[in-house]
Amino acid sequence: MEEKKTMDRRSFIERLGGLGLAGAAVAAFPWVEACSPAANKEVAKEKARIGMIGPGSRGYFHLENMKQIPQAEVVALCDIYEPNLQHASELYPEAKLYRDYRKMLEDPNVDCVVITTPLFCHFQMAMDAMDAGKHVFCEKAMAYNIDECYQMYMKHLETGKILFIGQQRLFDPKYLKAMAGVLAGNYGPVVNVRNYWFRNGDWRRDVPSPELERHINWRLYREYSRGLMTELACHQIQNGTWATGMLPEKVMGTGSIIYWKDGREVFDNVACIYTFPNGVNMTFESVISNAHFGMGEQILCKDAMVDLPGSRVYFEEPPRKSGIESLIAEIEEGIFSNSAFAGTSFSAENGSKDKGIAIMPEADGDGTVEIMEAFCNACITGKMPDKVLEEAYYGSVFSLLGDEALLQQKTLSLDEKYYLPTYKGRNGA
Amino acid sequence: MPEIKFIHSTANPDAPVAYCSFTAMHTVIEVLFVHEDEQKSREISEAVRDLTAELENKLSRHIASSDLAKLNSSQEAVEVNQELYFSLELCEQFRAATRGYFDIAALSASRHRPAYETLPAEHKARRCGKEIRLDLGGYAKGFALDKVKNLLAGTYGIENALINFGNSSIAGLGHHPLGDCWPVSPAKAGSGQTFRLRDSALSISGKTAGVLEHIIDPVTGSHASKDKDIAVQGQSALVCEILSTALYAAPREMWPALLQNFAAYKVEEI
Repeated sequence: MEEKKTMDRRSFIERLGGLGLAGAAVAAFPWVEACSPAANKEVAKEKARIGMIGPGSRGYFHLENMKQIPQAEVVALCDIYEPNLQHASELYPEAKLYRDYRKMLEDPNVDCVVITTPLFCHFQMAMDAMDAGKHVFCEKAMAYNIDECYQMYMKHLETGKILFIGQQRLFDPKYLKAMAGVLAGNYGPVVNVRNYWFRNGDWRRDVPSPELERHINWRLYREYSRGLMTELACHQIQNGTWATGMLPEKVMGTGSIIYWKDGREVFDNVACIYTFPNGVNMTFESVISNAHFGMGEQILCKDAMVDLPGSRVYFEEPPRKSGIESLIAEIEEGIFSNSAFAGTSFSAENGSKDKGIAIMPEADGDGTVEIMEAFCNACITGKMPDKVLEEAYYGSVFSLLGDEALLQQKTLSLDEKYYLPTYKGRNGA
Repeated sequence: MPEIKFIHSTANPDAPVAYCSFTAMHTVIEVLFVHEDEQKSREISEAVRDLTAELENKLSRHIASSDLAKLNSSQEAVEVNQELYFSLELCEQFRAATRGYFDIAALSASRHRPAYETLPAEHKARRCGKEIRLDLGGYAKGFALDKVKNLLAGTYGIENALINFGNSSIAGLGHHPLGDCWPVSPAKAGSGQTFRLRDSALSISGKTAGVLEHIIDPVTGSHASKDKDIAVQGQSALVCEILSTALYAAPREMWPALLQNFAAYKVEEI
């Protein structure tokens, strides 16, 4: 099993090469160089010594993935919830265990920390870690509010420490290939971006004891979480800024609790519209009481619709099998036969029945391993990959702005002071 | 102007064949013709595309700048182009001839008829009520198809061609280079029918799979629905289109009355 995964990872690197990541495309995705063959060669036999804070479900998943990354060495684990700590310890029995992350930050054997704690903890832990001289990989969303995101970014600049946010789509080969096509203009200009995430479940986790309710189900409470906008929208909003090369000018939306009225404080359904400076709209919808539509991220261009998770492109005018066109071959061959094509009218206004064309049929994985590998390489070399943090920053910031719009029931724009001095989007907003 | 897909083949020296397709009138339009060289064929293809696009601009209600769109949005009499004026007069004649089952005002909230009036002296038209909405969807393809047929035969002297407007409106000019007609069958599995088109047209109306019914019964204002599609074959593509639409909308017992004015047209259910 492990061997297969390792092979998959190699094939990822080969596939990145196969994407033709040179010239203009490198400018679009400069961060992927952090896990290129050259980058891996540079760090061969070196280790990034990792301390993980919060090895719960997502954290444990990263720990499993780190087994595939030769340059990742897990040396410390920290959690205030003992069952999670012990569970992770079984995977890495040699790792030192901590119950207080500040103590772990004093450990000189720890080069970098991976923060997979509830959202409200991200800011303080990341700030403390960078102040302690540690590189940081922090799960998305970046922080609980926009100002905290900005402060984290500025701390990264001030300390020179590596800072990654877990936006793994930036390293997902099928997203990279699809985005390369979008950014090259292969499908015409972007005219709309549709994002949705539909589930049917209460989003709860089992609570062994009632006093742990808010601790374990932190996603449901405003004190700790921003709900669907930070847990789900964050990935998808980032796709929109990535595809358009612009930052949204404003966002409006609405949210409420329509079904899961179980004492939770975050919305169980939301709908947001982001508008870019050129008028293009991007939507995000999420409902967790009907899963019919599942998850979708669609870049609508003038000439085609690009389905990012499905890795398919649907052209507006797909090649059609025509009775008349097939007559050419028959006439060439001297054949006379009837043509079966007559029927009720095809209307261009009907929804397309086109099954689309695969962009990357062999794609597997979602970039989670690769982003961690890139983080490890960056920790070892001390070189921060270009633009990866900026893309992630804006993904988080605009998700948070969306949540503010839902709460305030207003159309909101990002305060000028939160545009990064180093990167204001390709439109220079 | 829509882009043209163009193919010219001389692989069979006895029957050099040209083919063009492009998007117009909310559908895909295709023309295949024989015995012309490549340069001339390209010229003909462009002329067909230009003519179709011009007619669409004149007759579509979906183009904001079209005369029909202006007519639909104005309470006053509106000056309209020659084709639209002619079409409005003709459509009123066809409405009467089909006992009201062909009606370009079928989408209207109002059942007031006549739905519009033409003013010959001023070359204008006016809706008879603000709830009237005029739509030439069941007319324009047939009208344009006849125009294209005339362009090919009259202007360019093409003797043999097959013209397809979105699979539902088809015209055969002359015959297949290797046969005595253009034989066309429905795509629907198991229909078993073949329409032998020779200087004749075919129109099919019905429900497109997976799409809501779109033909309105103008008498009741509700969506028409039938188990089978209606195919009409005859000389004029325009008449075929009007009749197939009207017959699909009308109850079967009305068919004899509708068809008595169109004896030369053959009707089949498919």
